[in-house]
Amino acid sequence: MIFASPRIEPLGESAFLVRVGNDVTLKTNALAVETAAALRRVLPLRIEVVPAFATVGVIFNPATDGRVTVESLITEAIRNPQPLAPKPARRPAIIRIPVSYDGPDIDAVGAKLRLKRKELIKLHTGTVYTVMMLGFAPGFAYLGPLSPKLVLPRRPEPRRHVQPGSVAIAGAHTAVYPLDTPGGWHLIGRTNVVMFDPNRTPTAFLHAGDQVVFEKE
Amino acid sequence: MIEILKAPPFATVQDAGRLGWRTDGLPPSGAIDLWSLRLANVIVGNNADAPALEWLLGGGSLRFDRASAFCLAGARVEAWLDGMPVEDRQVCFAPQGSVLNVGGFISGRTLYIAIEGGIAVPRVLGSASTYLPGHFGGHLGRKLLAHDRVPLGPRRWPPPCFNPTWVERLPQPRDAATARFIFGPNWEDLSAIARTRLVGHAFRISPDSDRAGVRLGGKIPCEGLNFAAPSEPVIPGTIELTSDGSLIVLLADGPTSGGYPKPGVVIQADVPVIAQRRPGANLRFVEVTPSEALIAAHQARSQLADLANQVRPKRSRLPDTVSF
Repeated sequence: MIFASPRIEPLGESAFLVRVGNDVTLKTNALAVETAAALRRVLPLRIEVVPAFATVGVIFNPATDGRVTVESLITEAIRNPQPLAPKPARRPAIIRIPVSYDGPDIDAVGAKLRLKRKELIKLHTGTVYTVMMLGFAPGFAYLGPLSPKLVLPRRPEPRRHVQPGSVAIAGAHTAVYPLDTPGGWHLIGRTNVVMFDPNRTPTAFLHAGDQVVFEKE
Repeated sequence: MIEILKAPPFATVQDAGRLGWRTDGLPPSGAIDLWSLRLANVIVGNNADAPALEWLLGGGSLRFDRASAFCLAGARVEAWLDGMPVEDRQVCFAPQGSVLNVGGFISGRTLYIAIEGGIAVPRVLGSASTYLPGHFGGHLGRKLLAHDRVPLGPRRWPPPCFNPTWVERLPQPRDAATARFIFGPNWEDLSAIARTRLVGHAFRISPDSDRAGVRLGGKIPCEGLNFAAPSEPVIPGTIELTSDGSLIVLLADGPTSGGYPKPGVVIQADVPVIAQRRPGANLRFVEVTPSEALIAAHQARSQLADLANQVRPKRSRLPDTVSF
């Protein structure tokens, strides 16, 4: 659900959460990403504006930015949204990620969903996903929505180590693990695309609002 | 240069953190006890946010390849420079070739060793902090090992001038058992019993704690809470309530987002308290308003600024002689 007007909640004394809704739909998420863009236009560059599924985090330094000032700027930006920049005539380019579908869980996932490997791959490659947010680990992009036929709860026992480049699904989302981290998602494939590189700018391969498709290698 | 002779169990290079990369999912890293990092740096005449060594467990030794002033702050530790005991929160002068031995921690959990000139490792994304999960920053993106040679920045003239009495009245996070917090987005969702428990109960620090966060023993009733809520931004200090009813307080390497209910956020001035509590020790939470948090942060900042002015008095600028 999208709220009639966004709510501003304190997250300690040095951050605010701007809550635009309470679900993980594309519509709510698009509003969160749009709100983040609106906030970036009014807030100084050093203030971090971080969109998530249904919220935007605003993280600042009270000593230099002033908590009351930041709160007023947020309130103002939400109350009087400036007209968005005219939409580009062309749709944003779709980012393609080649995947070899040979993850350790692909057969178990197929069995649970009663899908043949081919059908599973077809469903996973057949959607243009939106990057809804980054979080959990650097470069970890939550992509959605997943085909309802692929929705599964997380693994009951998370793995202690997941190989970087593992393509995974869980709930209504799919993602690529950027680093060797623990992980509870089902690993269905892998890609050579580097999702996070500290020596590159920007460091993350994907950002909130990007459009992505997976292609069978 | 300094050379690590005996590897400490868990030591990294940290500064005040790598800010501005949260949209890429990258946490700030940096010292988990920023107060002690800054205190050690200021005492030794460095910039408050200069890179220093962070030791999370006692043990290890290092040799100074050049004469340098250094300072220990944070955890209280038994340490010896060429066999002579070293006190914390003091300037110590290490002659060229001298060896600093770090023994066991007496109290506290996080020790900072600031060395005159700072640790001169290359900066990654604007910071010298080590981010271990990403294998970058600090010294080769990893913990310090035996035989590591870590470069130091240039010394400044004059050397730091420091009077030990200047820090006597400054707070020591390692001795505090209470962390102040501000109500978080999910405080209202907690049951009345859960709320009184959170502010009235002493929680035991679990050994299962690291630079990403501190886990607390002692359960909070969590009926009626939504554990399937969409993930949202979090910051160091955020108190998360996991589905089994235990609490986690996030620190500098913690994720940038989380889906657990957030009953509160520890104020920035008291995050060092969390970083200094030892496993098995008790911790209580007490609620404050955002204004009280801002005052606490302001006090800490001005205490450090005053100290920095005493250690390195600012030269008075020459008056502007060009006038009409």
